[in-house]
Amino acid sequence: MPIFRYLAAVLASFLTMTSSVSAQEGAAMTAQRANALPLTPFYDVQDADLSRPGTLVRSEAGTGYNLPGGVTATRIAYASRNVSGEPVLATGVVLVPPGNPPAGGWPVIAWAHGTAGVARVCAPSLMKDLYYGWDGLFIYPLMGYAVVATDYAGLGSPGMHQYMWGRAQGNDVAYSIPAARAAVPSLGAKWVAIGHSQGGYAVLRIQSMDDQAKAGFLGSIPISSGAEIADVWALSDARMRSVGSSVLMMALSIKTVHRDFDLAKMIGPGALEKLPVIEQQACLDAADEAMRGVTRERGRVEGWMEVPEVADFARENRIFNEPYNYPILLLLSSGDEYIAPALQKQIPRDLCKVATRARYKFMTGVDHQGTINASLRDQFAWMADRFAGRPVPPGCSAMN
Amino acid sequence: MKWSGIMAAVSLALAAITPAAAQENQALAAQRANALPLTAFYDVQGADLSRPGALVRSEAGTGYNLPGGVGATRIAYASRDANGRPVLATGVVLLPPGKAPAGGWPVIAWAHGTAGVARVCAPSLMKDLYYGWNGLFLYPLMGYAVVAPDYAGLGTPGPHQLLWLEAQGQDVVNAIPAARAAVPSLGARWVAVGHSQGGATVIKVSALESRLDDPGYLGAISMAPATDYHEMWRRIPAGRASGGMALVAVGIKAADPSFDQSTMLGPEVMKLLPQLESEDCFDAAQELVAKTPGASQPPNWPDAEGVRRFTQANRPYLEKARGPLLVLLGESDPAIPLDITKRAISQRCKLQHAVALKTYPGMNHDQVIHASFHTQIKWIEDRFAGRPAQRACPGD
Repeated sequence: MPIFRYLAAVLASFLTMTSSVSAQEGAAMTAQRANALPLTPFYDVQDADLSRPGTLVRSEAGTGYNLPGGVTATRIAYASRNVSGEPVLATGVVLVPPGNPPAGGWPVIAWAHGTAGVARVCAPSLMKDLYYGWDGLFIYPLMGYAVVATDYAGLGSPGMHQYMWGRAQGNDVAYSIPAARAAVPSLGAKWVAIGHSQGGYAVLRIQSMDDQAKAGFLGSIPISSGAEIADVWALSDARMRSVGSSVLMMALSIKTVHRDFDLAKMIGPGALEKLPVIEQQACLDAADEAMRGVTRERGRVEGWMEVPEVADFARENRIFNEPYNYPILLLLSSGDEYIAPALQKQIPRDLCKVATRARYKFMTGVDHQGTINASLRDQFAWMADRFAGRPVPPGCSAMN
Repeated sequence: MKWSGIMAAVSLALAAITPAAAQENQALAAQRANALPLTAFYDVQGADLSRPGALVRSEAGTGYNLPGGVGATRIAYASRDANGRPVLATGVVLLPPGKAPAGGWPVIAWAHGTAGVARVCAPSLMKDLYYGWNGLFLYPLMGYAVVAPDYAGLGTPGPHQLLWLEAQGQDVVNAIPAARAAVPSLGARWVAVGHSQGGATVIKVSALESRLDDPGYLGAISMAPATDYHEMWRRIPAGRASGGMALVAVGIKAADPSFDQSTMLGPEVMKLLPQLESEDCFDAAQELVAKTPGASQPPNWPDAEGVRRFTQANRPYLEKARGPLLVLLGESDPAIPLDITKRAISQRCKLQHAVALKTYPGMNHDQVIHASFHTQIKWIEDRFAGRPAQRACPGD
């Protein structure tokens, strides 16, 4: 399941207690392999010109996916920018609805996925179910929206994925749009961005990109997202009994910016030995599976949050630290197992300090993943208004 | 455990690791993995079935793999069979996430395609409710409560009168008041949506409503419906039998005890019927018959007397009807020929104004559900909003 699991460690400890076997290749890795498509040269840089972000590098028919009837897929590779503004190759998939496009082309959703892992093979476009399957993703095209689903650079394409550097993922989402339009001319000019979990941060960062990157952009729908990284850490570290894989993913990600970062200052010996498998092979579920039994004491280093590079990562990626002036619909659930109740209260407060045209809504009775489908009607109603050009009244408030 | 029981267990275990395991019906294994237990909920238990549409009992629908926020309630209710006799029927009510709008949830009655004839083939006894994401789970996420009857004889004691559309039509219309009694947040108004056997069923529902006159009925969407059975079956190449046709033979006899199944099925298929009546649902039945050497049908079986009686009795497209009807068909549907459907629908078009047929190039029997989904939702919205339905008849 695609989840932004800071708190996974807490749950993982229960799993460890109830399972007597800790096999090297567990059920999650087996499931990952069964869902995998081959990593081909399509995903390599080759001799691509990456000088202009948003440029389509190449495209091909998206085969091998278990798509709904009438939905077609096109794989794209395009030029994007990493968090430092350097050129990178990114890949993704464009899903086109059944039938003929309306006048002006299909309305477009830029889809930003949640934590998949950091290895190249963790690209959703290398999964038969495109990672999210019927959790929102397949439903959008059936309701008449084309979907541009980026993998994020480093997933699929070479180079370490800059996990949770939200501006990098924001770039990958926004620059996927002109590239997708070059590959699939039936896409219209207007688009909204929907992101789940890790993807929620990406779709908010689009709001502060330059006007050219935002051409046609109508707003952001972050789902099950928005907690500040430092707040999550502060709440979860004390409760950890074993360490979840996302801590390692962030450690690897920090090193993409702070090249001299000594990982041993953040993660303990029990987790260090798991780095190669997480860097190269194991996506989220399998990565957590690999981390089972890595205790808090052996998995991270006391005081890791205060290590300068780590603190800088949390500070640089504070999500509500700049004005957001495009429409926002933030969707959360009181039943979200990965966002603690204190943070559930904090997120809308933080949002409303910086967002000028935002609505937020809490679902009930659904978990982190279930929030996507439980809020679909709200998403569709909100998107219909945006594409129809209806204005969002100024302010930031709860929606009924 | 008795010695014979242990021996049986040992030999089963051996069977599982011998090459004979390759002969194992894979569809049946998948069926079992998807199965929920057949409980006393599905028994008649002396229920009063005198009033069709009366709720007999309900319970929380547990065990299903539902989308986030969707709730399920199992219902058992009084219905009528093809001969007008009281029967118990079961089904499931799915509720959308969130709070019902004023006036209650708008309702879709969902009529499923052929699942089999055994009791265990009831969709409400399957973790994915048989159709899963193939349309069914999408409707509640779009804000519609779904009332999904099993059809009498599936779940409830049989036999299931497969493709006797009076029976399945009754099961649909009677599920609506029963569902409302069990789940008060349902609104008064509903549309019927069906696929394949269910597509034929909702054409019958539109005919039933011309005399039932339920003011809450707003129309029907029929996907990939079987229409002119006789003409369809005459096109099946002679020789090999299929699991589907074997199930139909069971269904015909279920409402017409005088029917001689051997006029429709060869002797090798006849031997399989007990397995179909007790256990194998559609996919497993298909696989079973396909793997049976010499499984055949007699020549000219569609013209056998009992078969003709059945096909002539089930032509709801020739009956007067009420409410808009939208028919949706994949142009690459191997089961439902386009020209036969067009001819049948054009006959309904002579009796009714608001009929439309829309076809989908390249789509097969199942794909049409997804390919037409947006069209379905817009059409349903229009019905609930009281907007007039468009006519688009073949040959107009």
